[in-house]
Amino acid sequence: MSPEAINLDELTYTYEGDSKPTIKDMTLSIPEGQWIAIIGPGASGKSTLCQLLNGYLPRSGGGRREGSISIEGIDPRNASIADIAERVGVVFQDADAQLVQGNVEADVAFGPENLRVPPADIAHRISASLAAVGLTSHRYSRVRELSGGQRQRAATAAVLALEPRLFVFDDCTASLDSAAQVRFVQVCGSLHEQGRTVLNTSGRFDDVARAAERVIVLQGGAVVLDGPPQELLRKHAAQLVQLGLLPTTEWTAGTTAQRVADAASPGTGGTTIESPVSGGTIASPGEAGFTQCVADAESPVRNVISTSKTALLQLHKLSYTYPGGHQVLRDVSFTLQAGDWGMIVGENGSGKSTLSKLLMGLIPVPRNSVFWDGKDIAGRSVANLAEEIGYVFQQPEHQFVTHSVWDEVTYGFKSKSHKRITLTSQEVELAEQMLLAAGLFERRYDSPYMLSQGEKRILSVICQFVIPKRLVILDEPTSGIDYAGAERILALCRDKVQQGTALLMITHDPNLVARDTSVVLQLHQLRGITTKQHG
Amino acid sequence: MIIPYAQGQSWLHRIDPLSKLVLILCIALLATRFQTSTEQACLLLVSIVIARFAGGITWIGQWKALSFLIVFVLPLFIITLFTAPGRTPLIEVGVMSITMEGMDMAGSVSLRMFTLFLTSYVYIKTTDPQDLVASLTQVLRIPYRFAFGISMALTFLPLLQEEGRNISAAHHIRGRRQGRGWGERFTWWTTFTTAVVYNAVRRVQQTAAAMESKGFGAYPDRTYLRPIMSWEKGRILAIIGVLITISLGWFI
Repeated sequence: MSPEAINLDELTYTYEGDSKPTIKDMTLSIPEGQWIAIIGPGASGKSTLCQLLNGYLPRSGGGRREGSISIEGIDPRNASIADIAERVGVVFQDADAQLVQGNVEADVAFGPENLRVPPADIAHRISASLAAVGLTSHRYSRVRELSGGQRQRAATAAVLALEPRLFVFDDCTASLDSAAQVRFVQVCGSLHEQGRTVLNTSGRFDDVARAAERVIVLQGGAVVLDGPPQELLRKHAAQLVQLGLLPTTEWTAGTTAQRVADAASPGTGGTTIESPVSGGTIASPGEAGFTQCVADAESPVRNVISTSKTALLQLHKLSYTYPGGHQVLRDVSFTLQAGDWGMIVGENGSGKSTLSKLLMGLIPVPRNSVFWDGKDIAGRSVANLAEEIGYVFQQPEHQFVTHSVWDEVTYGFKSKSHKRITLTSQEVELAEQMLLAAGLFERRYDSPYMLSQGEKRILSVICQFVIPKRLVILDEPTSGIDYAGAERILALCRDKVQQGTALLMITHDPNLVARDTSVVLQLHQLRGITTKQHG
Repeated sequence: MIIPYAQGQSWLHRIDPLSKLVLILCIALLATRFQTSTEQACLLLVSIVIARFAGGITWIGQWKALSFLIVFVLPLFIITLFTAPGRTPLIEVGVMSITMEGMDMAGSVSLRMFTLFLTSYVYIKTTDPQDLVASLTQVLRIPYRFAFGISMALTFLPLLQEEGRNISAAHHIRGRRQGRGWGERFTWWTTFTTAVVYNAVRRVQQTAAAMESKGFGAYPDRTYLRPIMSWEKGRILAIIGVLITISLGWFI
């Protein structure tokens, strides 16, 4: 039997100020060279476990740890920085916080330099790591110039260059396009073949989990399932659906047995899955036939809004080049009508977030390119546009402005009236309803920063939905969260559309959203291709 | 106003950070040595010309940087104008009088501020923080943890500025406008500043954790991918700068 890479013995961890532990009596043994996927719904303890493995918790992050952790025989809580860095490389969820040097090459070199790797070897490691994540062409780019997905890939490359014996990837496919996700699975497979221990976490039974040797399912900080992926899919599909780790639609129609064989193989989780409505397959963005497949899907929402013909938002040959000369959009045209649910798809760096920022006025809009209610929005301030347009940031943290979940949700009410501090009974009721629908009512007095990533996302959505708007732009609202959380967000979106609000959603989850959308804009190589789904 | 490093190929971009630092210190020494407005004006003029033709910083760029300083320099100018001792009256306003000496002194301290600010601005604009760290650690043998502190500060400030912009945008998007009255403005700024500080602290903690997880501080020394910049050209320049400074300091 292989020696152990990780050993957890009755591990319990409680955050400072919390009464309940986030990790409860967890006992696990992971042999060296194994490829494990740890999956679980939001707030199941995945990220906490990752931070315990590299010693950040409780050494720097505080809290109380009981039980023991052993990484190749050492306890990360007491180990030296060198011992930990040479053994464990962790890619955390927030890529921005991990890129500390400002440009890609320097960030990838940073770890090996600290470990005194000779410069010639560092240069080789940089080339290999960037090639592995498909970021070679951005070697000399500044981090600020990269898209969210590209930053995530740069953060991954920075840890690959460390060449530790144990890799921990904390949900780092969340912002990746489908091609990058496939590449990431290959990278993990390659590390596994080299005999390294690989640990991935995710809120879904995704392609990475399907390709891993072993899947461990967490719920409420404890292990509830543990076994090879095929076995778990065969024996526990219903439980996985219930936990939100598999999409409901994928498993409810047809027999489970028929689907296990297909679903167990990588490529069925993120790149193509069975269409929930038409029974066909939906190709990923960038693949041939994607837009047509989306167009073929039936939409329950579409029937409600198909009578509306008002052009609410219109893009007319919109081109945008960042200061410095980097062009991201060329002659993109697109129309969104009142009550439409639009979807923007495209590979990482294709300009999706740039486009959404332009629409919100966060980046100066070129003249005669974007029209709101038939009027050019160039020159209009963010505050002015915000009276009618809501915006959900790609990073939920960018949106938080207060110190409790309740204050976040009610912030919009107070903003409307500077002088009024107390809320009306209707506002209180609405805020409570939203929190209940989001599953956050019990956490209303907690700091928004203490929520899990999925909870942060849903909070960022309801903060915008609580105030009536004519259009809400959502930048990857379902990214990196379990299917149950994603479905919760989509249910809230459906309600909004039923009420006549238009939505424009950027997503790497086209399969989840396709049946609801009425118009799709696919961005590819600067250009945009629009597909209308209703006439 | 936060000044980030700007990639470029100007002459000053190609001079090593330590030689440039010596040149800046020379200008700073002269700025403190010179006492008259004429001398300070000449020094500022030289700095502006260097910034334009050696640093590649446009006239507009320089104006934007210096105009930022006006709000700080103007009060200093006025206070010095009325308080500096002098014997040659120029204008008398009631009990207050402006003298030639006061005018000269006020001009001198104000122009000195512009010179010191402009040279620092040029240094930051034309010096890659990584080159600065490499020079400090490999040439001056300063411990890398300390040198990285400087580098991180230079890298971090633009990020914090971006964070501030994000938070401001978030407030606007969520319907919050800066009010008109003093009370409303104060409330807006308090909320905004608290959010920025909170996020900055969070970001610093995350960054520290990320650096540590990548082995920062694991050993007393580290290697560097980037070789230190050649300092032969810079050294000659620095020596010339020191000689000019000594000469001017001696004769003026």
